[in-house]
Amino acid sequence: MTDVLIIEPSKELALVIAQALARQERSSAIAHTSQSAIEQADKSTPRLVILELLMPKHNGLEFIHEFRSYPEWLNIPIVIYSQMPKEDLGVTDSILEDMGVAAHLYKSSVTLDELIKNAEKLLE
Amino acid sequence: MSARDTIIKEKRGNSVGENQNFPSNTQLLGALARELKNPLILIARQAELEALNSSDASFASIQNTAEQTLKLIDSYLLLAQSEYGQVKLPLETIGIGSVIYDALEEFRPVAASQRINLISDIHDQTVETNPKGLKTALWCLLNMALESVEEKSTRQIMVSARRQRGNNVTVSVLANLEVSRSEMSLARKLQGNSHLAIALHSKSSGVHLAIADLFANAAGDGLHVARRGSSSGLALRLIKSQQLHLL
Repeated sequence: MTDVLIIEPSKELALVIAQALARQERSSAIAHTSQSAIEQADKSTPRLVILELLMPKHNGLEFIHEFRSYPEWLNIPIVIYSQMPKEDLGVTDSILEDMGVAAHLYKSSVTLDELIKNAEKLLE
Repeated sequence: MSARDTIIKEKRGNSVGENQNFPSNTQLLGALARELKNPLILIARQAELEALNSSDASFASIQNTAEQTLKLIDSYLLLAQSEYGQVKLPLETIGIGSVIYDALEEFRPVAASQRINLISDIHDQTVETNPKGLKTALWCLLNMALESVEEKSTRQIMVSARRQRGNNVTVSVLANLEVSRSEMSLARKLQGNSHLAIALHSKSSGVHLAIADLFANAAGDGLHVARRGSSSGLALRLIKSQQLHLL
């Protein structure tokens, strides 16, 4: 089992997040698209997903929809870490909660430290 | 027919020079701003990670610079989208004191590092405005003031909120910005914007002022020059709320 599945189209940023998690002795897997994320989760079930919404082909919301359609992944928390602000999403907090989104963090203003602290809380 | 031929045909086919297939300059600028955020986020986060592994203070400085630039881009996007109706900034009744307090708190560490004293003079006022837009405008004005305070001056920036005649509350950011009314007026007449004249006195391009001006225009009559004693700066007028302030 992997601690965190990082779904991030930027290869460099995904590595930075993975390195920050490794400092906390957390294992991670990286996927750059929704499709490869599903394949990755199939290989090794993550305990937490960190997700960018803005991705080519299938976006992050489409990923959540598919991910949640598998009963064994229903309770895995998802942290959105995205360039898209929450206000632009067009969905309410209760809808996000129903999707199993534990937090929506805006990349521009949320530091790596805050992201990791959020992840740690959910992994404990 | 090649893609280029199609583009040329479409361009020629439109007498006003606009085509649905071509974004306007503002849309293009917005897309460019969003695109710039990707490398800036990477720089900020990579610098943050490096700072954890190194005692070199320059990584924290790189992180801070990238984050401030991201905030500037977000400020531009918010007010530009609002001007073009893509984002609504609805009016709310707010106590202006807390907005100014939050803005000053954010700048206090950087002001302290530059030995600039940040003070406020707030006569508790409730106004009708959009808090997000006001916060953005204040952030821009404070940023500009911090960049522009001269070494020889008193090294002080004051944010004040005072009720003016009629139903207006004036929010001023005062330092020693050396902006004259004639400069502002001339710049507006010539450029349609005020930021070019200010840019002469600022280390930056004056883009912070242009963004604050966007909000000030949406909220009332634009930015104007303000003076108090030996201090000068810029101010925006807001509408005083007629609602009773609930305690």
